[in-house]
Amino acid sequence: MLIWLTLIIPASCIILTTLLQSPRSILLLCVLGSLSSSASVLILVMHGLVTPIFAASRQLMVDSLSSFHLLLVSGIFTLSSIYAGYYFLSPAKRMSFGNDKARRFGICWFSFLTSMLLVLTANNLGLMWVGMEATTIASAVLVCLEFDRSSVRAAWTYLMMCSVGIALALLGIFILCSEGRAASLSGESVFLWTELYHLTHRMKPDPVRMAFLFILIGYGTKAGLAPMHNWLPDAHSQAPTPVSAVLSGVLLNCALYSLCRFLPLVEGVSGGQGWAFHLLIPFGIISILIAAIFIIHETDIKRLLAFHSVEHMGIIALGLGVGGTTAALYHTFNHSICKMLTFFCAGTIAQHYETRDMRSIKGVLSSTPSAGFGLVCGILALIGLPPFSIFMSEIWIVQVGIKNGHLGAIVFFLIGAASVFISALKHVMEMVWHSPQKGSPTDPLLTNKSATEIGWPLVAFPLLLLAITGIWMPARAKGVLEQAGAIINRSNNLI
Amino acid sequence: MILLGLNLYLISTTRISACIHSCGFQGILLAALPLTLGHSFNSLSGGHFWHVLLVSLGTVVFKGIAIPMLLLRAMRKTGIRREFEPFLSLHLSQLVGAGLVILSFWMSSVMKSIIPLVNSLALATGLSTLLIGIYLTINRKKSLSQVLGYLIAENGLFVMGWSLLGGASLLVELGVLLDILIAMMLMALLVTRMDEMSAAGETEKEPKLTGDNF
Repeated sequence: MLIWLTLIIPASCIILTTLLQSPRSILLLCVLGSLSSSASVLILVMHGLVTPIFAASRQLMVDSLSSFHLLLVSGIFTLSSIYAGYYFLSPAKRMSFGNDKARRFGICWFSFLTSMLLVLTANNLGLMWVGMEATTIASAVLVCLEFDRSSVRAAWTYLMMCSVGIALALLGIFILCSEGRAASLSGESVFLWTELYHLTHRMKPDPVRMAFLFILIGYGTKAGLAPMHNWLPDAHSQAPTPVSAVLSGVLLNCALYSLCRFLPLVEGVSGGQGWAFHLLIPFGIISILIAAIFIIHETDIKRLLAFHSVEHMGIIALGLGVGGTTAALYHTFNHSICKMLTFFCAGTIAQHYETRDMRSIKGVLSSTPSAGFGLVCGILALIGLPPFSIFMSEIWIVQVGIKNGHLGAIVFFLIGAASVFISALKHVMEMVWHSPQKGSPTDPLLTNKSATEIGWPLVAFPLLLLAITGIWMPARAKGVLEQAGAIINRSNNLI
Repeated sequence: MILLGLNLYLISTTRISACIHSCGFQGILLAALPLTLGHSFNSLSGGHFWHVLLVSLGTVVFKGIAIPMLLLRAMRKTGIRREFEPFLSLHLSQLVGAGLVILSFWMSSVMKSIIPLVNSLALATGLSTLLIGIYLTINRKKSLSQVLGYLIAENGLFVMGWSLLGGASLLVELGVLLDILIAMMLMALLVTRMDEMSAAGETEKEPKLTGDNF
């Protein structure tokens, strides 16, 4: 019942959006709608963390792994909805944000939320795929909201690559489930994750491994893992900033979540020697290294952040691969919060300077204090500076990796992370230290200074969250992470 | 069954400007698949006659009628009629297509030995359709024919799904159909939009993706 409620609230907001008349009211609905859906998610998660709950004759399920992601999705969606208000009603955007565009935004925003919640609550692997494809479609419309040349091009690449990519994942799911059918499941239950979870000892390893390869390529494309990441920088930089925040803050996580659902199945079949986990390691390393190379010479601030996403997805994949599932989930949390914050600030700064080119963004702290402060701290956190929690989770992954004997992988990771650290630090320092050129459009005296700002609370809240969880993690939160990690590890017998 | 396999093969490898029509025809043929295959999987679909009928009907309406109409409209708007400019020439593509078909028959015979209860012919057909579809999306330059390639790949997936699982879940099949329909609508829209823009700004130089969306 609760699961249904969680899905119905955003779905009904889609319909409500079509009735509203002004951009302002649609943006207000976005905030209210995502707030109420977070409230229902919160209640749902309270129950789901204790014991898995089911709905719709076991087609939908919420356990601790999905609870963790549900919390993250709804939290980030709510904050991004608030930011969308700042972003679209800013002087730079207010003129062009008309009725049609607002309605298109509202409809797709809530379809996007609904489909992500569907992915996270689905127990039926086919249904999960359907939700995944729906997220691609809804977010592709959001990417080309401006409908100009470059954004349409970006949306096209995104839509084609991800659709073809996850078509392969569907093939993998078919193969996996046909193996499940051979292990005597019947009817609808062939697709149910919980059923497959219990049947793994009866399935044969070879077909399941083949299936996992397809699934890895498919969902890996969607998660932006390295050789298949080409769509990511374009889509993330061309999208309106609230959309970029959600795309890289939670959509990538959802893709990795789907991948994580298959890990215990494959491990169960192939005898728990870590075959599936080890496959993730090269993808992780390549992602980290490629991102590290591209970050060095990047000049576009949003593309810089997009490549950071590729890097962090690589780190999470590596963390999963070396066996630190809990550490990887912790890193997922940190990355989402941090990436949301940096995108918010980068969007506002880009609006203020009317460019995304970091070479003309100088003196951010004096011209846009709150956004500048947020961006600087956010990027420092993102590259792993100690007081923040990303440092903690990276150290944790390194520890686990060394303990489990993946020294080579960890060395590559450290090389990549160090290179990112240096080059990103250089970008940040250039944006902070140089003062704005006099007489240029970026001169704070010429632009309306107070108009393009985001509220301090929107900067301070994620930043504090990152700083606090870096220093002290509540035992309850750690329990949730461990519980969720245990599902991927298959080391619990709760289900 | 053999007829179906041959048809799919022919349609996917002939490269003519009437590709869309053949895609629609392929969609209608696909709809026949659950009806013919359904009998051999009665034990598993539990005689869900309505289920099979619904999926067939949905396939005819969506893949046989709605999507081809959408694409035809997009084609008329953009004025792309025949100018396929593949990276590899047509003759070479036919060779590649034949190679892919042989590959998929070989793969499905391998898979048959691993996975029991598989209708090998349908599996091979599906796999070859999928591979050819993906090949088309890679090889073609025009966006409209890339969309067609994606559609063909999805058709192949549909066949593979039926041959592997025999229509296991109504929910999943209808969901996938709906997804594809909406994706097609969006793709058609993007194709027309991209065409409009490239027609308007032919003298412009190719834009860098660092546009002005801050």
